[in-house]
Amino acid sequence: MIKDTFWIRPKALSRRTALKAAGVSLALPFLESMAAPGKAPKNPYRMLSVLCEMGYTSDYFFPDAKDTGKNYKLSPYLQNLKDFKNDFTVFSGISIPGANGGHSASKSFLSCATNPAASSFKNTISLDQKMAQKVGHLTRFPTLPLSITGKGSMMAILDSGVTLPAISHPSELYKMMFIEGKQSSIEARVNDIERGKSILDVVTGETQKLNRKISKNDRQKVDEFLVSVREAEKHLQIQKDWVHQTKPKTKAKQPKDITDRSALGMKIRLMYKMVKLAFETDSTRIATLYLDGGDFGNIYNVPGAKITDGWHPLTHAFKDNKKKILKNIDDDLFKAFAGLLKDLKSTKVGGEDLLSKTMILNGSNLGHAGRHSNDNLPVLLAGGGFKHGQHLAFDRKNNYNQANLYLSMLHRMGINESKFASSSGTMKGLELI
Amino acid sequence: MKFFIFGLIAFITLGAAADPRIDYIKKFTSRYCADCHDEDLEKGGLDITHYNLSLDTLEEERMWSNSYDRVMHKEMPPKKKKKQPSANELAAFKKNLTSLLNESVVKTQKSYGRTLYRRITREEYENTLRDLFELPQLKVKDMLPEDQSTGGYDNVTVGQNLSRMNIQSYMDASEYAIDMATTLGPKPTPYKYEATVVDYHKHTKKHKHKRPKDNGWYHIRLNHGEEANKLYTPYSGMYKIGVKAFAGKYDYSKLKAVTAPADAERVVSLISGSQTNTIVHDTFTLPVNKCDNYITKVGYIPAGGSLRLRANDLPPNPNKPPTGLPPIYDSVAIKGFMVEGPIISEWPPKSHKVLFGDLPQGKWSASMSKIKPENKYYKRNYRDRNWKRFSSKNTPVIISKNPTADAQKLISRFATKAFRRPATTEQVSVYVNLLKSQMNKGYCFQDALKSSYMAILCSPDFLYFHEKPGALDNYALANRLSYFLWKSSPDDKLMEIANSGKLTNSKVLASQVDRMLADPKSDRFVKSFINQWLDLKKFEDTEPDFDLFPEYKKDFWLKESMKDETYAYFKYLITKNLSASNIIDSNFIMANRRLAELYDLKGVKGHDVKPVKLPKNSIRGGLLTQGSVLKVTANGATTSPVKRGVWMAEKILGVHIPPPPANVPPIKTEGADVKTLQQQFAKHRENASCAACHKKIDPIGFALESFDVMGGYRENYRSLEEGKDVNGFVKLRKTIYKLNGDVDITSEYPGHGRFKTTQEFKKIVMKNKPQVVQHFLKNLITFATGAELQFTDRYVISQIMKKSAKDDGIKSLIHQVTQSRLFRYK
Repeated sequence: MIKDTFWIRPKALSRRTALKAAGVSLALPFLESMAAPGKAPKNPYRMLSVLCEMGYTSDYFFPDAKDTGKNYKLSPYLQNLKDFKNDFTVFSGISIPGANGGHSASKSFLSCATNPAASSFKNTISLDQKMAQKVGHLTRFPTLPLSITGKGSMMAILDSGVTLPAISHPSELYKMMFIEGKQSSIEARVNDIERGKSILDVVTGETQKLNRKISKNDRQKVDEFLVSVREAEKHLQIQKDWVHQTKPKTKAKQPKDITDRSALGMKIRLMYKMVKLAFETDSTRIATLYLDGGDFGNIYNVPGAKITDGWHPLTHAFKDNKKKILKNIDDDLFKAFAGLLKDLKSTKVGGEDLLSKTMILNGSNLGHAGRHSNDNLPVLLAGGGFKHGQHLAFDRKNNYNQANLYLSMLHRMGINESKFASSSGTMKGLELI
Repeated sequence: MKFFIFGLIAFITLGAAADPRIDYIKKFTSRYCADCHDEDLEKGGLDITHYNLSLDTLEEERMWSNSYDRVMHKEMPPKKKKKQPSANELAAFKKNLTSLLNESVVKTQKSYGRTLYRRITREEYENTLRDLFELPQLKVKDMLPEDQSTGGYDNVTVGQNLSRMNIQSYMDASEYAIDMATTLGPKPTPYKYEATVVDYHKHTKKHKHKRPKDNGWYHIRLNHGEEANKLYTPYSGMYKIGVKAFAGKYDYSKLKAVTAPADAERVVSLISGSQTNTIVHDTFTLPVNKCDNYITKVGYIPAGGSLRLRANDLPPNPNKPPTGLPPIYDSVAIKGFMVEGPIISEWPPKSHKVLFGDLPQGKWSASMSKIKPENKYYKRNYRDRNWKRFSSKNTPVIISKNPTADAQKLISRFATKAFRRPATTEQVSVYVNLLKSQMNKGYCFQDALKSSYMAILCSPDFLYFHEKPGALDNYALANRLSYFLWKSSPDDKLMEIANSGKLTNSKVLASQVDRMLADPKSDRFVKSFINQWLDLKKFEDTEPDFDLFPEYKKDFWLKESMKDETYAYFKYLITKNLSASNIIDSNFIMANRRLAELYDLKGVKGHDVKPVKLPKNSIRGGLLTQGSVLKVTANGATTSPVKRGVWMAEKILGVHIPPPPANVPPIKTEGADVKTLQQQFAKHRENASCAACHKKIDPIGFALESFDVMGGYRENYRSLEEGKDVNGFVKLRKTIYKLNGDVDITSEYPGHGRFKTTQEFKKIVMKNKPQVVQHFLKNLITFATGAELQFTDRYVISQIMKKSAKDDGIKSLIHQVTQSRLFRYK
């Protein structure tokens, strides 16, 4: 299994020099362990963030407000995760300060940028991309932004505020990760990258000429362009480096994409499988998965349950019978999530189970979807080397800052920054193992 | 010395605070505003003490002009406050703030211009490449990241952000476009396809379903229609496409055709692509009861593409067969399809000549270049066996005897087109040098040239507008004009006029506006502007709930027609230069038969959306009551006066509504456990903190309460839970919704009067026409210039408003905008 996970790099040294040349900061301790193929590599941490577009009904999500700490009673939704009670922490009374505006706040879920609904909103770097800046170059895919129906990654935001596009076809993802190109196509790819670099050289030169003749206020925009071109150049260099590396092998077969629009539960389960494969083979260490529900009338079918309305309309329903239908959907989401936890726990990587090396954040930007409120967010954190098995409760009216949780996760990833977005410190009550 | 320094400091401090205007405004705000809008309370998220009056930033400028409006409209300070400014104080506030704002804005506009360094949007990018390569079907928009909108428009510079993702996608998209434009190898052999409809319809592997047939004609009764079986187009291109079909009737109990009435109308579409990505080739009416020859059309089919006849006015699949209906249904009878092409008017096509001029092609050999020529263009363009046979033995390549000279010529021509102004010798030499260095690395001429073209299409000279502070030069003006009215680059004619230096002449400019509006490319302006102004870009965001509204289920024709209506309507206002009052109300609409059905109008036939005269006192007319608008302001299952009120305030009336505070419980609407909607809203407005905004929103939202989620007229709400049963069939499905509660739209437009019907409301708005026209102008100017309105720009608008008192035709207003300083200066 170890061999599959950390395939031996033929040109470990040249890779390092190349990275240095590209000006990428190195996470040295880890890289050194890779450079010595004889030794068992130190096992890195991974991170997955799951964001549910339609929210989770808070009444069924949160444990009782007073029932905190260890030995708390699981809420109806968390019952689905009862086998893993000691592998996750459920939070209550936390939210992202200033991230309001109903559905729009999904853009701020991992970035914690304020006022996402404002017409002049500019997003900031998200947690996953922050991590990718430091450790992204160590894997073939710096991050994998994923979604279910193709609405976009929503959460994954570059430092310029641009949202990354998402992959929503599992078969395509499989191909990118595991199917080796022919020698000729590898050469063609290298040629493409080389050409790209030559082109960007010229573009840089032409942009610098502009800088001389342009007025002050416009120069800012030109500089922004220049920075982006340089970033793209760096990225090409990193890509070139990966072209020659053999892709990892897996026993899993290439999946077929599910075309039924309402088979959302099946799609989610398949995507979870792909995430597990990606982590297991160290194709990436950072992934985001947007559980988007398609257009706002789209139905989420749950086998065995009678679902009469679209997922979105159901979140706005008032009648108890409709709420029950919505509960079927939410339960299915948590069952699928339990499947992922089970899968990760039973997968051994470097002698440890994958769940203990994978932080999984699961939540929504909607505290109460029917009201489109953005406080007291339903959020839980599973796996990833934290002391779990508790209900970490905060004031459900005056919420605790969720950015602190993100800072803790950054630290767990080995990135010891002192601050992330509006954070005031690491998460109170959440300890590393 | 000490004294001198002290004096200097005193002088500086004095100098900064010496402006009596600033003093006055500070005094005024601390007296009347800072009670609530200070650091502690920050009501409405505003701390006015935090903003100074140096007006250095756009944000400060916006905040102060906003405060100006609130005070001038007497919204602030709130009426319940005892301390109210006197008339004199108000006048002084107005005078001082106006003068300060004007001075500052004029200064920044003079030194930097209103519009910042603007990048072309992805929509403009696609159009520009389509026009540059003469490839009208090129699709590259979706390869680029989505543009962010500011103030409703995606071309406003302030919000345009950029990252490496953009740069990477610009590279990918430019390469893709160049590959699509390249055509090497032999001329395609014509492909001919003709097929009859197959006897069995495969439902599943096990279950085969024999199809209703009569005398060799297959009778289709559902709207998904019929697909051309085993069609396999080898190339992407324009094809002659045809179908043998007629409007029929079929008795499904006897499996026999019945004669359809002579006026039976079946509107069908020939389409390609998937359900989510449909290309509609043509929509037309079928002959009745017989069809001897193919009905032929022309359409673009991608390589390996499909062709389907969609029967627009037949019902969608009801999932289970209906019981209790007579077994005689309307049908579309169909016999077969034909496809022939691609239609090639010249070879190599124009797109290829844009890249390679008249350079000949030959066979590549290893002696010609170290690296074998790429063949991506081939993979993307051809699936032809002949070509595969040819290319297995030959690698076609462009032959250039004198690469540098040829490249010089081609690149100079291409760069001038791409940069939308003459490329300088220096610029051209940069790209020729790139070609040379690529050839030195072992690339063949055509691949090296491709690199140069890609670099041109990734350079800021292509991606940005180049405007200098002050009046725009001829090329900058030509660019602004063509990206306004065509959303794309200037054509040869416009460039010629820019070259001659005459475009800045007002008369010449006006004649170009007329010419460009008459060109079909102006449809892009209409669509882009309407999509953003009226939110039609959100048209696909929701889908009507089929249980509540079975009449709209999978009605592709209706959805396409609804959008077409609004585009066609606006276009008609432009071409006929009809008054801006048509925004509010009109005595005609643009409709085809399906729209007329939606609007309960009799006697409209066919598919083409055309002017239809409305009966007197019709509820329809104007933009507000068009289906498309009513759809984007509704959820799939319900409508809400709040959503529609906000839309009306922000889009039509120009009333600013701040975003809702977080954590507000929603208003319960249809099917809710409240007695009536009106009562619920009245309660809502009793709450003081809601009332501040909602008294501006809800009453006008009620004006559109008579329309359901797709814009159909209603007198009752529908519910799935309670109410009166409606027994009947809609589109082969038994209805399951119930009628629950009467619609009551009686309301008051605050300060303007009460209304009981939508018609009355429109009359009230009509009395405030200048407000609507002014807001329309603001939208038009933002869209045309890529910058939001600033304080001094109000003067220009008021000038245009004065002129519009005589002539407020939409086309005249467009002329006024393009002639104005806002448009002709950076």
